[in-house]
Amino acid sequence: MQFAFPASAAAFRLEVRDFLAERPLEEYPADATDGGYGTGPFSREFLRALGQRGWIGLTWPVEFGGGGRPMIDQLVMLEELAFAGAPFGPLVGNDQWAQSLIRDSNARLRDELLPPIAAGEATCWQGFSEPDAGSDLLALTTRATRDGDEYVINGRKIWSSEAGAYTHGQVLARTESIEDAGSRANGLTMFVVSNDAPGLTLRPILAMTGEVYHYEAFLDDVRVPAWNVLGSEGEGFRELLRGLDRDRFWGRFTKPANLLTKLDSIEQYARSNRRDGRPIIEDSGLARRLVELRAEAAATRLLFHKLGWQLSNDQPVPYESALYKTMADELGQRVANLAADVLEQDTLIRREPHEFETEMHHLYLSSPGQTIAGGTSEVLRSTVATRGLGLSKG
Amino acid sequence: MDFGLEEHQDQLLRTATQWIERSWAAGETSTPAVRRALWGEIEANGWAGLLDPDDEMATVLDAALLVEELARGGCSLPLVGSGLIAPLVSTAAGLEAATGRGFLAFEDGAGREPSARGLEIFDGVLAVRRTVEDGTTSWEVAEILVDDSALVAEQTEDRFVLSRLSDDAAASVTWRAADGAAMERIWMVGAVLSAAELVGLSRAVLERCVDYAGARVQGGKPIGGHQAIQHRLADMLAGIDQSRYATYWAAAHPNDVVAVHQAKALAGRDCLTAIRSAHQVMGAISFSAEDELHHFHKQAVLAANEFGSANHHWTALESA
Repeated sequence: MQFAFPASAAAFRLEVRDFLAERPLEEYPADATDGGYGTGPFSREFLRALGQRGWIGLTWPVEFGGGGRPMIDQLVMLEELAFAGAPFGPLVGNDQWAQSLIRDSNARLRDELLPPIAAGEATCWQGFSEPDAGSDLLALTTRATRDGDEYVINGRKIWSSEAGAYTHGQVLARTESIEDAGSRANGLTMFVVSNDAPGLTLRPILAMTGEVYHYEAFLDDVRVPAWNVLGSEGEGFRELLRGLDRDRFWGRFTKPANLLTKLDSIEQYARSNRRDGRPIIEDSGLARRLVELRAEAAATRLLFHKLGWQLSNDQPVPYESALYKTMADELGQRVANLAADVLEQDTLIRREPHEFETEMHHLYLSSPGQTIAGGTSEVLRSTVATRGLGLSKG
Repeated sequence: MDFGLEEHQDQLLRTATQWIERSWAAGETSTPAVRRALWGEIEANGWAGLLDPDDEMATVLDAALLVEELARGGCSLPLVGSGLIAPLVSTAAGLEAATGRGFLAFEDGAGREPSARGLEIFDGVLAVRRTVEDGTTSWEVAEILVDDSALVAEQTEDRFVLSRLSDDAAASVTWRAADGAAMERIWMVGAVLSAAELVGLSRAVLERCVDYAGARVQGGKPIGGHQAIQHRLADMLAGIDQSRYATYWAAAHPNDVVAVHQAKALAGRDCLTAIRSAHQVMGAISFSAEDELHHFHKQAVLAANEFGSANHHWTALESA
């Protein structure tokens, strides 16, 4: 076991810090809200700045326009962005999209999309869940039918994060009936759909934070070129499953770092504000909750590094991504609850952006969704028990 | 970062596993004579004294991995105190480093008589007395030769005896001051190693629970097929993984006091919670002495409180 970062990654960390110090983060305009995952909001200008540095395609192979750097450099960069509270919203999801294009797509689609992704211009939402297909994703009913050189997609997707602010969607649709395919897991295909495709309508869903993060997508005779298939026709679900561990890893990797900074902010607020005639930090039990949450955040950060090491070494990860995602999200909820206990009724007041109260207001009101999005904690605990501990399915 | 075992660590753990199978798990361990003989094997394997007093921080991670593996195999010999920490303490107190001593540590004035496990298998005891006054800790060390009359057995289990010095033996002790800074560092190593023991014990208990939940059939199906059981086991694994890697990190950075406090606090809270939870999974047999779970549970209570309880370490973090 060797816990030190390689010298090259440590040097790159300083480079990222210099980049972040060049311009105040508040100056980057937000184009969409923060989902609460520790990645901040979506700012296209910030993504462009990363793109100019070559950091969006940091780890892509050089022949695909990437930097060819090792995964540890990407982890270091993401942590620094999270520690700083930078608005890098879609960066990790986008990278998964780009990696699947590099791995699974045809040259035409790759050539069309990788350059704008690397530049921070193209960003992608996921169209997987449907109104009647949540935890049971295979109940989806969206269909795609081949028509010459095109597919025609009809259906309805929901809970698609930032769909209205991004440029493309990944849409999972049935291309073969269950009867013909032999099982619900067969006959599904993943498509890339441009947001300006005729027939695609996006309905914003107002969240309890008062902002829009999720959308419902209506696909009415949406036509996409046949080369917009990601992976192979009929293999969409298996490819999605293969990517799930990585999705859960990348989707939550930045969260512990972000929570550590949130805890620092909460502690600072509790030390510098008074209630009942004394500093809030002296409230019974508060300091204990702070040190416990900080210890858990530090340990969870370490677990994500361990999982990253496992993934980069192609080791099996039977339970880790499901468990650590659940741990990070439940920890995030407890940090949010602490913030709400410190702020009391001010938790519900939204003030200027970048103020502590606004940040905590958002953290708290976005926290109930964390243990639902990307796999509910209940489904994931069952995954840990069956895949990780080898128990039979109930 | 590299989370894989180094070759020498892999070899160390394989030797430990083989020893558990061949020596510890193969026979009866309930008599002091047997445990004394098994301790001899621990020394012969080079595990006692693994932490070289001249280079004490070099192999804390190796020692933690070993402690975890032996605890996971059910070994209750007091390796942390008597085998790994006692030689470091002897050096810090200017005594000749020696293994094969019982290790009795206590806080003076805490209002209870100090007790420790394993004293009955050694000829001598190294006693450490901490005195905390006005936030300052001072340390004293004493060597005590023991015979049968010097020890009072407080609690006898199949796998360990919790005993204390008799009043007569305690009264004849000569204390000598030990280097406080060195003792603080050693105590941090002890905290990490006792966290590793908790990790090993809780991993063993989780493995037993999984086996039980898969085999125990009620209502026509294994109880492990019920989500209520599955989710409880997943929560046990969460607490254990969190403690385990926090412990490895702290073992690799034993001078990082925050990391050490965090590791022992997490292990003392979450590993013990996991073990308590195991009783619910395993049902009635779990609270009988006919099943082994109680051994693991009692040993965990000891490990959780040696070198500082979770409460002690959380409190230290609050004022850090």
